[in-house]
Amino acid sequence: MASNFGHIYLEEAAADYPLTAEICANFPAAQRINIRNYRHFFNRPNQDYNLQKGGLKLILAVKRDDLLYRGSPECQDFNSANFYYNTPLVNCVYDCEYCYLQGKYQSANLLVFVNQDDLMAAVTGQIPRRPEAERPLLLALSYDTDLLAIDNRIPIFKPWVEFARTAENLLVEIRTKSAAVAGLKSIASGKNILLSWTVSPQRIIDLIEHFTPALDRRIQAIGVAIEQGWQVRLSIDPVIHSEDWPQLYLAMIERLFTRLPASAIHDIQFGPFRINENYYRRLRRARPRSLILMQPLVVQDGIVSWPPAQQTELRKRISDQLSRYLPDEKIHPWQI
Amino acid sequence: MLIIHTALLCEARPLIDRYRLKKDFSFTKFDVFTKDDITLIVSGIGRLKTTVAVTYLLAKQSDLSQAKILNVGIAGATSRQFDFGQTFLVNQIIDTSTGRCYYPDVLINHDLPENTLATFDKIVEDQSVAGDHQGLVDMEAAGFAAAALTFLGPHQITLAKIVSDHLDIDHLSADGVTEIVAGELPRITRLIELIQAQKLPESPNLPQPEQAVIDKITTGLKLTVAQQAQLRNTLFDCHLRSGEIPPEWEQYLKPAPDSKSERNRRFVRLLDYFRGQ
Repeated sequence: MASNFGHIYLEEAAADYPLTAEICANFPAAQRINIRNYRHFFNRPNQDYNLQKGGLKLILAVKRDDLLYRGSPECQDFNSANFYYNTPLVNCVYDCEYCYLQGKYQSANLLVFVNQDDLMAAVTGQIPRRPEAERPLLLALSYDTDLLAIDNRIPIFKPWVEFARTAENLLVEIRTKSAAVAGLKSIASGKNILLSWTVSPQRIIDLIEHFTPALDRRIQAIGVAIEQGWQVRLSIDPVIHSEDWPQLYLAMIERLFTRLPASAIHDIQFGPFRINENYYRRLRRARPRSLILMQPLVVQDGIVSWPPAQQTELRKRISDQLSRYLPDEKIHPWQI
Repeated sequence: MLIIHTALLCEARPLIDRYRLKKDFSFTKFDVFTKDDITLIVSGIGRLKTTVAVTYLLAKQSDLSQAKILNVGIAGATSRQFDFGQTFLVNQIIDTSTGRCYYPDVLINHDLPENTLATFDKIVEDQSVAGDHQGLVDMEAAGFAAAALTFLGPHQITLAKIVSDHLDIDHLSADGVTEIVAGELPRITRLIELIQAQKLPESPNLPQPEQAVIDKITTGLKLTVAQQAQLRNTLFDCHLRSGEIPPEWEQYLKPAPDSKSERNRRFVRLLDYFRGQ
């Protein structure tokens, strides 16, 4: 992974939280720097995202506002008006070249909010006010990070699972690429918790998903999670364009369902590379020679993605392949 | 390019000797010494002189994308647990007059201890002046950081401070300061090597023939500045994908557009053409 966290920047207000003590104890050799407000460090101008990826710092802070967000149009919302996401942790130990985080934030450093109870309370408060009362509130918990990947040292995953398991009218999606599933054994799963694994062909992982586990290790981890009774969603997202993308992705789907029981998969979602236009501008500045920029991309309604005809082809070819293993109602292509 | 700033000539002397820097008389407002890609500037004592000196030097540079700047100097320590003559890398600078904090990005793999430093407007002679602050104190770092971070990113700036006193500054002489810095020269030199070895991202450029295409299209279609930037990005992506700029672009320039709206239509078609390659 990208870092062993040699520095912890500790916000004054975060000092007395139990989670702060727990995390600091996991990094006894780290330099501790006391700061007044995390924004003074996290939002500094002219930071270099890629250089920081080579030496990530940990920031422990208190989240005071925006404890819960409405889902954005670039996200898969599963046709639910009740789609929300939150950010218990910001930024990721992995370094995927397509990641929107490098466009969204000035800093690559890992920002942990230690007042997780306040974030949970915001979710609890929103459940009765969700727009569609007949459906549960859908909460994406791990969009701006990968909670499972760092759970052994930044333990946020388990408290959220326990919170979600006992909550009513709540469906939580926790997205991950992690293969670190040993800890799942000690956590009771819940019917309203989806572990959503992002999978990519190994060639794509090698080229642009830096520090992430290999495809086979992810498949193995998914198998373990299924055996332990977790609800598993698969996410082939983003699909990266190349001359032979159909072969790459169709072969990967075949491999997935050779090794995993299709009947145990909750559902699968997929979509082409897409990113907010402003984030794309920053991405191209940060990684001017990335393979991401070699895709044929167009701007439509402020979103940079594949041209419409190629998106149609993507939907058809991936859906057709998935239909060999899953019923249509379990296949969710992304569309604006 | 490495720029070194010191407040005092006596702090700079060991570095000038070590790197065989020569005085550059083209700089008239401050003492500046240079050799190869190292430039050293001596500002004088205090935040204001430091800010002016660093700004003076950085504003004269045409390209700062590969620049790094290092402040070297002595500092007081509020505690005797910080040894006299010990060098610290500064990870936080507190400007005590404004309350503002500055954070250099510590991205090099160094072996120096790190510390927080507070900058005061007057000499810190005892703990009553330093107040609650525990760590290092000086009179320049906040001015250095404010000026440097106006021009550079936090990954481009470094501060190394050598403990010269425990708030009992009256015993310090110029020769004594030089001796303190000279004593830590191996560590400072090692730090400079690490800073110089750190690779900064280069801004990507198109090869010369492709740059010429931008110039011809800009002239031919009388593009606005915003359109030129759009064209540069599109051509960069096109070149990245196909390894060349396809030659048919010239047909989009003829005949010359006779209105802005015609120019804009033609420009959109041209971009679509490059994007389709």
